[in-house]
Amino acid sequence: MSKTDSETRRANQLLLEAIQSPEKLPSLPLTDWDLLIRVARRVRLLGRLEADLSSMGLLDNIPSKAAEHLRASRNVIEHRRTLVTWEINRILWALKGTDVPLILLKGAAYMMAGLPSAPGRLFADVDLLTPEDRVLELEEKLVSKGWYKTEIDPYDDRYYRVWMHEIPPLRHRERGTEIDIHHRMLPRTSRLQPDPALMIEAARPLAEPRLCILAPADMVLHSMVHLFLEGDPVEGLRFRDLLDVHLLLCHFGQESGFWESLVPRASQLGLTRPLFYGLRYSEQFFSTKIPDFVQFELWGCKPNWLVRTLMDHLVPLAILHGHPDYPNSWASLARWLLYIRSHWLKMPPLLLVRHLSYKAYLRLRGITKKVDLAQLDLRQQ
Amino acid sequence: MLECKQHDLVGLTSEARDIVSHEFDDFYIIYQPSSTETHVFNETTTEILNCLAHSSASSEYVMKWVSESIVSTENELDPLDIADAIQRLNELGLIDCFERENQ
Amino acid sequence: MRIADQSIKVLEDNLKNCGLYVKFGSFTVRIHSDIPSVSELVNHFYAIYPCASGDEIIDFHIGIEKPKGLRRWYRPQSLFSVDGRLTFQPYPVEHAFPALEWGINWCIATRAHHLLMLHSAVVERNGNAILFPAWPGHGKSTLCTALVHSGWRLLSDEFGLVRPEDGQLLPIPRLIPLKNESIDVIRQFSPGAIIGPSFYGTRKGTVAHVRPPEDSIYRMDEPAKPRWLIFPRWIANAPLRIEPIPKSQAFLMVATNSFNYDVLDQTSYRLVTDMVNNCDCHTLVYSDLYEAISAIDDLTRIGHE
Repeated sequence: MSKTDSETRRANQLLLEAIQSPEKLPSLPLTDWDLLIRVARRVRLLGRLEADLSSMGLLDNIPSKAAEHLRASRNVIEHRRTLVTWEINRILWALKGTDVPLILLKGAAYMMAGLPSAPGRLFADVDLLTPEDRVLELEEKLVSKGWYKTEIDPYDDRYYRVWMHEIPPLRHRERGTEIDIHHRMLPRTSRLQPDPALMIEAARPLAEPRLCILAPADMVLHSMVHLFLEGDPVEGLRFRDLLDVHLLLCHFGQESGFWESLVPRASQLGLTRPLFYGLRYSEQFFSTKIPDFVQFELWGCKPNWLVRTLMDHLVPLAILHGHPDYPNSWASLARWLLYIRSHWLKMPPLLLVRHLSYKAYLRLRGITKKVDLAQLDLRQQ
Repeated sequence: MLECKQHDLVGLTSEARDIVSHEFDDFYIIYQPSSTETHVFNETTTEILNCLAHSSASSEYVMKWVSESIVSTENELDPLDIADAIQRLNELGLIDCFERENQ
Repeated sequence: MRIADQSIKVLEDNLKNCGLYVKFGSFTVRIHSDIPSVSELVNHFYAIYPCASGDEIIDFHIGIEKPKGLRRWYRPQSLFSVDGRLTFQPYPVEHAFPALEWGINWCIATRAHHLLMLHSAVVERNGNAILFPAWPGHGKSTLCTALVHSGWRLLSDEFGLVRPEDGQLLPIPRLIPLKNESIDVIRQFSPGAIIGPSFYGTRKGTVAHVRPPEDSIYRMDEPAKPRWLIFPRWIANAPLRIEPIPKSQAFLMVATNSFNYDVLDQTSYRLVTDMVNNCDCHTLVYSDLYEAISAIDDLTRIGHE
C-alpha cells in the first residue's frame, strides 16, 4: 500500500470513528487530534464533534488546543443558528395576516423541529417550500417589508426562473441571511419529478402553527435527493449530508409506521433510486439499522450491476477527503464525475452542456472566486 | 412598510424583554440577543421601551408619556420623531402593533 | 528551542519536507515552501521565534509554493494554501514572502473565533495596554512601530485579541508590514530596527516588514490589560491633537472595527462594553512621530498615576 493510500485510510478512519464514537475522543493522541481537526473542518463537522462532546460533558477532557478549535466553530454555528431563527421570526412578522403555506426545509427544519441532525450543524440560510402559485405573493409581501431580490447575473437569473425549483434568493436590507423560496424539490428539467403538491399536503405543523415541516418519509427522501443531486464539483458528495440522512433515519425509524411507509412513498414520488443509494451508503458508513423488509422491497428498484459497482467505487472516494497532505487524484475525479452525474439527472443533455460550459467559461476567465490575500478586507470575512 | 397607526395598541415583544442595555454619555447601547444586533438608542427610543415595560398602550398614549418624561429644555420633542421611533422598534422586532378591535 | 537553533540547511529541508513549525503567540503554524527566497527570509525574520515540535496540535497547516507544471518556468508564481486547498489568487514568486505573511493573518482572522478579534494595534508598558483601532491608511502601523522602538512592547500590529474569559489582550507579535513612505520614516526614526527588503508593486504598493524587538517576541505568552483606547489618524502637516472622546463613540468605533464582533454575539457586547468602561478613550491626530509619541507618553503617565 502506498503512503497516500495508508494516510487516506488513516484520515478517513479517524473521522468516521470520531463521529460514531465521540466518547472515545478524550483518549485520542495529540497528533491524531491535529489530523482530525483538519479533516473534520474540511467536511464542516467540527461543530458536530463539539456538540457531541458537549452533550456528554467531555469538553474539559480533551486537549485545550482542540477545545479552542471546537469552540471557535461552535461560536460561528450558534451565531448562524440565532440569525436563522430570527429570520424566521421576521418572516412570520412580515407575513402577518396572510395564509401562504410555509414549509421549512433542510437545516431550518431540523433546527425548528429540534431534530438530532440540528446540533452542531452549520446553518447557511432559510429554505422554504410553498406552492408554486403562491410564490409571487410570498415574494411580493417580503419585498414590501424590507427584503430585496439579490442581484445575480442575467444568466443565473434566467437559469433560476426558467429551469429551477426555486427563485433567486431574497435578503433583508439590514441582515445577511438569505431566504431560498422553493416550489419543488428539483429543477423543472430534472428526470426525477416528485410531485410537490403531495409533499405539501402531507406536511406537519410545528408548535408555531404557521410553520410546517415535511412529513418524516418526505423529509428523509428530500435529504437523500439533496445529497445525491445537489453536488458540488470540488466538494463532491457532502459527508455531512449523508450524516443527516443517517440521523434522520435513526430518529424517525422509531416512529411506528415509518419504515413501512418509506418505500411506498418513494415509489409514489418517483424517488426509489435516491432512496436505494441513501440507505445503502448510510448503512455502509454509519451502520444504520435498516429493517430487512425495506431492503427487500427496494430490491426491485436497484440500479444494474455496472452502475452499482461504479457508484460503490465513486461514492467512498468522493465523500471522504482523505489526508490533506496526501491528496488523492482519483478522489477529485470521482467528485467531478458525481457532479456531472447529478447534473445529468437534473437537466436534458443539451442544457447540461450549455450550463457546464458556461461554468467552465467562468473558470477560464478566472471568475470562480479566489481570495486575494492582499486586498482582502479581513473584516468582511 | 408596516404602519403603526395612531390608535393602534403598542406592546413589547417577548424578545424586547431580553435586551441588555448600557448607558454611555447620553446614549444607550443596546444588545438584542434574539437578532444578535447591537443598537444605539437615544433617550426617546429608550423611553418608549420604558413606557411599555409594564403594559401595552395606545401609540397616542406612548407619545404623550414620552414627551412628558423627557425634560428637554432646549427644544420641543417632535411627535414625528416619536412616531418614527415606534415604527423603527416595530421593524426591529422589539415592539408589536395591534389593531384595536372596534367596539 | 528557537528557529535559529537549526542550521539554514535543516530549515530549508524542513520547509520543503515535513514543514517548519513556528509559534506566534498562542498560535502554532506549520509552513511548507519550496521557494528559496522564502526560506531565506524565514531564516532572517523568524530566527528568534520559538519552534514547535511536530507532535502537538497545529493551528494552521499552510504552504507557499510554486505551482506544479509548466507554470514553474514561465513567469513563476507562488500559491498560498491552507490544508492543501488552493483557494487564493497566485502571487508573482518575488512576492511569496508578503503573501505568506498575509496568508497567516487570513487564517487567524477567518478561524480564531474562540477570541474576540479587534482590528487594532496593541502595545503595552507596565502591564497596561493601549489599543489603536484604526482603518487602513490611518497610520496605525507606523505609529505602532515607532512606539515599540521607544520602550513599549508589541502585542500586535493588526489584531486586538481579546480573551473572552477575562478580557485580557493576548500577544501575537508578528512582523509589521510597512507601506510606501512609512518605510523611510521608520528607517530614520529608528535606525536600529530590523527591516527587511522592500517588495515593489505588490497589490498594496511597496511593502517592507519590520521584525518586532526581541523583548516582544520573548514575552509572547504574557497577556496585558486594556487601559487606553486611542484612535489615531495621520494627516500631513496637521498640528498634534489628542482629545478625549465620548465612550459611546469609542464603543461604536471599536465594534465596527472588528474582525468578528458579530460572530461572538453577546460575548462581544460584554467584552467591548467592559473595555470601553475600563479605558480612557482619545483620538489622536498627528503628522510628526516624535510629537505623537511624547504626547502618548504624557497621556499614559498621567493616566497611570
